[in-house]
Amino acid sequence: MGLATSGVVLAESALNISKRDIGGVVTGAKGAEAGVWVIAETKDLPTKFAKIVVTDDKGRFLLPEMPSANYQIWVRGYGLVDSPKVTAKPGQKLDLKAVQAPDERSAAAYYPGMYWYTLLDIPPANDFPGTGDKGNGIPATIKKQSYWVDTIKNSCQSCHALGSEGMRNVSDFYKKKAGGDSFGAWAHRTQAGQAMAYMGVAVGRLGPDKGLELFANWTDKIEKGALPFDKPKRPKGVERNVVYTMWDYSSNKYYLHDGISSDKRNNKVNPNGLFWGSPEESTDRVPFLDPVNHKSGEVVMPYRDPKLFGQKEQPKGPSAYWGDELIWDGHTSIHNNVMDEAGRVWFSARIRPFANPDFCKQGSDHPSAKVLPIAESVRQLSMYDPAKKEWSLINTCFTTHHLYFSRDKNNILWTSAGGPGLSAVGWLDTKKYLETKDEQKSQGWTPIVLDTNGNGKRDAYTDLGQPDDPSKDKRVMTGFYGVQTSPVDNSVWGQSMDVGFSRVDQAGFLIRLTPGSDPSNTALAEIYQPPEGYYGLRGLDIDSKGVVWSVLSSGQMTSFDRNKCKGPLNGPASASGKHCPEGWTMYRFPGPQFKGVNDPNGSAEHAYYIAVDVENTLGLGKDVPVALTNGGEALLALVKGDWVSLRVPYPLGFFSKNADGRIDDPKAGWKGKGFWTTSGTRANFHGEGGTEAYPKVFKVQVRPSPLAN
Amino acid sequence: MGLVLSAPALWAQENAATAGLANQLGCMFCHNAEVKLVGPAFKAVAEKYKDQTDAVAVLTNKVKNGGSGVWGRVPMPAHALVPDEQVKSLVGWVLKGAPAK
Repeated sequence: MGLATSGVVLAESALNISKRDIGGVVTGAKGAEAGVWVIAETKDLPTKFAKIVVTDDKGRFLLPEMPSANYQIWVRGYGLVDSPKVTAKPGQKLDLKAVQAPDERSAAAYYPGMYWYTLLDIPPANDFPGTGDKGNGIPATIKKQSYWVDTIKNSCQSCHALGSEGMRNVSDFYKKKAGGDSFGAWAHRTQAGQAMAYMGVAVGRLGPDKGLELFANWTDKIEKGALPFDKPKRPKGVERNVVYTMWDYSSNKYYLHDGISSDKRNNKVNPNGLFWGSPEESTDRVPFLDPVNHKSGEVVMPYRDPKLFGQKEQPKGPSAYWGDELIWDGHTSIHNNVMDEAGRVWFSARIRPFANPDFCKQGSDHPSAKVLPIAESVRQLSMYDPAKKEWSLINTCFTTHHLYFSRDKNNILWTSAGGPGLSAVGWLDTKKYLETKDEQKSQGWTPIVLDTNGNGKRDAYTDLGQPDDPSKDKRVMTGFYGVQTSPVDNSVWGQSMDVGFSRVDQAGFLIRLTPGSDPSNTALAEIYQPPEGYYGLRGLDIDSKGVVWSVLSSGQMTSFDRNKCKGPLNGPASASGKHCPEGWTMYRFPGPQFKGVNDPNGSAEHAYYIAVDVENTLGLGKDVPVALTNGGEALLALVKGDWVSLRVPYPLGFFSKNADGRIDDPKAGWKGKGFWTTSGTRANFHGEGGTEAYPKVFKVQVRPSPLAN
Repeated sequence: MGLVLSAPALWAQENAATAGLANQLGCMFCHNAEVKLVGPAFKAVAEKYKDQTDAVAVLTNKVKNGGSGVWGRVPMPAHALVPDEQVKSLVGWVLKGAPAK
């Protein structure tokens, strides 16, 4: 065997290599290497491009639809170290030799971060509640072990690929600054760069002495040779059918929070079009990718007030990676983006300093301000129309964080606020806005009010901090983090964060809002809390049947089906959110648990968000929920009750914050659709490639078989 | 013409402005007036330095150049780019116990 001509079919297999494919067989010391990755990368195209597939049970692989270029190709897999790179072109057959890892440590270098961060000690359950800096170093506000775990996952791991190489090893730069002391080195690294203030909050929350001590012990342990106590398994079954395609965009100095390829309500919008990123604090330069021509570019988001503070004015410390260079230059905090039916891209973004204009405040005759005046908003809205190459800046009174469209005739854009401070939900009537450009009349907001008097309508309510009154409804201190509308009844669902993110001593909830005819005055909410032992809701999405899906920092994916609730959904008993435990179903994430956490129902896995693939763009079926699991560095799909883990093995440290699907050609089968996401860690340079690594756009497809082309 | 404010009212204005500056510069991510976070409570700093004649100079140097070893194991990072006038206001405010107004 070993034909090197294009368009050949090998007699002994079904490996059909067309002129656009590269295929062959991977063998190792014991014969065929099944379930290992073959990575092909090129710099020949306008932007760096790579494609990855998995070998089948006979070690065969097929990289389909490769753009014409010279590729560097190598093998990566569990139990191996990277094989030497070889050069190939589309149409070629390649036999590749896998290289066995010489020792456990070399093999473990390719494990997902979770396998390394489970070596991090978690204080034992009887250390809680904390006794403060004169006691055990854990603040008294951290009342339970779950608060600690939720803080690690939803504060530290919100931004960092926790077990990645750059995290589990501490640079000599910091050690030197601390005179060789590991604790001091961690103190310096958590003061590095322009995120010093954010990291300060998380360190303060854990208690600096205890938190930094445990992180320092973790990296000391690894430096001395500690290895993960569990091992990942190679891809199997349908996991071997995956094709990852990836492109560089933006800059190695910036990071992305989110990205969008299509309209969540109709995945046929924007076929073969540009993918748009949102670079959060790092820059005002919004990157895009043209996946057809393999080109990237950017448009700069403007802002209204030249006095808007920027990242260059943030407190900062020297970085082991960038020295004193201020790599972030953003002002607009472009957090999250969605696409509408016309391909316009809407962003939660900052357009001015925090103080709100008068129409938002007490005394205004704005209908929503009459109900709930708002003095400040941290982030507002912007919209970019690629067809017109025009930006619109929309001055909202309410803070925005995530955003999604409803399915009504006015294309209402519902937003979340992130934390619970506002205790309100805001929206923009985008039809009205696009017709009139009247930002004041197009927006509205409502406090979050429960129907605790059980009369089925919103009427007088007790406000935050006031004692309950059985004759009234009740406004609750909570806020949307995730947001999505139900395709079944257009109710608006939100999800509030738990104590590790919100820093409010209150569990996270799912929140259902029925807007009513005049939402500022008629919207009613229901809250639902996960059953005892489960905590840390983060993100949500909704399937075509109206079932809500979320992920938990206790280590599960969860579904909530309101139709399963047996008791009343309003009235005084509904105020706790504990009135429908029967609505929840839990699915434990695969992988190890922290050794110090005695909870076999949970996992150390962390997912940042969840996306339901309603239209089967990924190729695993309709309505498949996909968790963005950053501990496992994977897209983790739940297919008919079984996990399908699509680990992105290159570059190491894959970390994503959301995903969406797109259908480019409904008649082209798996080739005509895909699931899109982007790099989401704030410190791309902690992963493979270091400071040379650019953010990437990832397109993920599942073929009918590992050799389909 | 403007209103003539009493001395306490002027101090309140000044204190509120400096508290705003502390927020804007990110001091309050690691410090609080009342309780220890990453760094010491500002009231504890005021108490410690209340009788020290060179307190302003010592704390100005700590803000500008960083410091360690006084309040535990976490070092105070340097804030070399904060203008001297702002550092002076902040240090004066901290030594008053970081009043909100």
